[in-house]
Amino acid sequence: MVTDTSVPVEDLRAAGYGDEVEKVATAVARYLDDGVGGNVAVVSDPYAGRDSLLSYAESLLDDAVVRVDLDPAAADGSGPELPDSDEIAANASGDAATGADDAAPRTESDGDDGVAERAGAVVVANCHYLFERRIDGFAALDAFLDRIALSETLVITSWNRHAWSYLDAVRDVGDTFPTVVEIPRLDAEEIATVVEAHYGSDLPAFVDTGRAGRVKTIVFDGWRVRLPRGRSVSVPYPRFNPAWTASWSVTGEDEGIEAVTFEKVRRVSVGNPGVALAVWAESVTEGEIAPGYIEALETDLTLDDDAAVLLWTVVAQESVGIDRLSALFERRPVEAVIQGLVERGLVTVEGDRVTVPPRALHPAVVALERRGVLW
Amino acid sequence: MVSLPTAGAVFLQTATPGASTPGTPAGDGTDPTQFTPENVLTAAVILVVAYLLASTLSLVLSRLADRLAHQRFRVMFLIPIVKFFVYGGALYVVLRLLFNLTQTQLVAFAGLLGAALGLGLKDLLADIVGGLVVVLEQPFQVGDKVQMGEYYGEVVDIGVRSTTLVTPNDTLVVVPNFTLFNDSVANANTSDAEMLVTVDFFVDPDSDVARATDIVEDALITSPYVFVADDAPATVVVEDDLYYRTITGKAYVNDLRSEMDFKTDVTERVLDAFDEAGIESPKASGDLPEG
Repeated sequence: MVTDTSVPVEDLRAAGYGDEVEKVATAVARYLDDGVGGNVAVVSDPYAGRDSLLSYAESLLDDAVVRVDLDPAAADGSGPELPDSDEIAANASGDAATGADDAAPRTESDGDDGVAERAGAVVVANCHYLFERRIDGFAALDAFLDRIALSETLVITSWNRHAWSYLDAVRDVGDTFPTVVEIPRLDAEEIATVVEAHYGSDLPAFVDTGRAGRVKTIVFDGWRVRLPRGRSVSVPYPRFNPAWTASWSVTGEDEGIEAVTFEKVRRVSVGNPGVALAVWAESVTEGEIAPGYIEALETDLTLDDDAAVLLWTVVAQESVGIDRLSALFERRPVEAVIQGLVERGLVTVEGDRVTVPPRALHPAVVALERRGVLW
Repeated sequence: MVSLPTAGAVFLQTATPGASTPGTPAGDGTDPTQFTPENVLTAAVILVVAYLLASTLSLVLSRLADRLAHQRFRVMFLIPIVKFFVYGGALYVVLRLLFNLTQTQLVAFAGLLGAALGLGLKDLLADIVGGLVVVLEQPFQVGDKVQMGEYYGEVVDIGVRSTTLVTPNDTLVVVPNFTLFNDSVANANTSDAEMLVTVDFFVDPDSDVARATDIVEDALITSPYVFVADDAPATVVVEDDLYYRTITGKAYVNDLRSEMDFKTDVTERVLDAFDEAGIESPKASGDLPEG
């Protein structure tokens, strides 16, 4: 699986994330140069590269920073504590300090010199784990927001876009973060830049197989009509070919197969660089790639209540244990719902953890939006 | 569909003044009607085709609306308009075909027909006018949740004479359109998918009302059926009474069809949380102080 750390920030900047990188750099510079703190939220879809921005901020802060990587258990505690300068010094000298409470997971810093005089910055990754969508499920989030609201230090956080939208609606989290860096979607050329930066010049050969809907724009399916005496007849009806829809070039120009290939990668990934890399890796076949090799998942999915609520949780929190899902939805048939989602390719289960694979992210989001669950 | 060109051909033919074909309008005292077996059959076919066309278009639009789910109201409002146009067009063609009327005569005929209907079938006429008002003013659309008279439910069809609702008990109610003139109509969502839903809880005055309020608010905003935005907030209202406190949760459901699911989900979880927090229901009336 491709993680969102797989794209270095230099490549993201070259690919079109210049403004977002600059926002982070400006916040860090104000803190280092003028001692101005503040709260920064880096918000993106899963796999879209927010961890690269956090790592970039860490590198700029050198050792004047403590990093906290939250996990799903964070919702049980009171959120990560803010470090003081002593803690920064301890980290910098190699004595890794731990979080102040059980819920605050491991802390880490890199380097061993350059301790800051001021209170020290903190980078908190995966803040969408600070809540659970249940009664009394916001205690850790509320405590954390209260803690950082009047803090003078620099707090750089990362959030899942869908969790952020939900929390901004029900908890006004945006009010606590004067700087919000939302990672946008890339176009085909920018996707090409990311892929080329990731794989260097060793790209597969681009071939035109004539498949992937560049020929068939509409396919005919059969609608089985039941007749008396147990007989039936199949009535053909036209249906859009999603593979073609994904590969179709809106420019109308006669483009090369390379441009068409990247355009299709963009459409399947919806401009998400991490998803694009995953789709690319899965589509390369025997050293070749073609639009026909890039499979688009069905987006015309319907979800029942159980599947929608469970899938929302997995999409918004990105990786959730089955036991937590069972505790969260004790009235719902969690295992059966997960099995159904796995069969439809919307989630994968690795060990105890349920995640949305990169390729399924867009179909899952579309299905949830259609249900009105994503706002 | 085959008969429509035929009707059109007849229309063009009869519009020619002084034509000598049988049944042509003339000032020579011949019968202006064209009740030939062929024309009657054509008229019947036109009406059947109109019925099938209206039904098919309604079905297609309904299916399309269902697929759009959250945006379905953008399609739903077309259904009654399409039906009125199809039936109106068919009626026009049939009148021209059978009665061989010029446009002036058609207007006069409509007036006479209206007067006749007004005298003999005024209720039916009121229903039809009410249907026209529904189409033109659109006080509600197919898919809306409305209170019409004593009935509350989702509008599933707006017809020429009546509007059909499905109540929460899955009962189909046919409400005459003239109800619009005699009674108020309450529309709960005005063609939005989202709709405000309220859930009431009653707690003992000695219970921790602040804690109960927090529980209700959390239950509202964590429901899978809720929709929250700046202009659609979730709120909790506490009302005081001598023997109990009323805690009313108000929030929008993301789809009005989930109204009952939302109420059930919130109620179940709130009652469980009340139990855990020791928040009690009002005491039975037998325990209440006299007077």
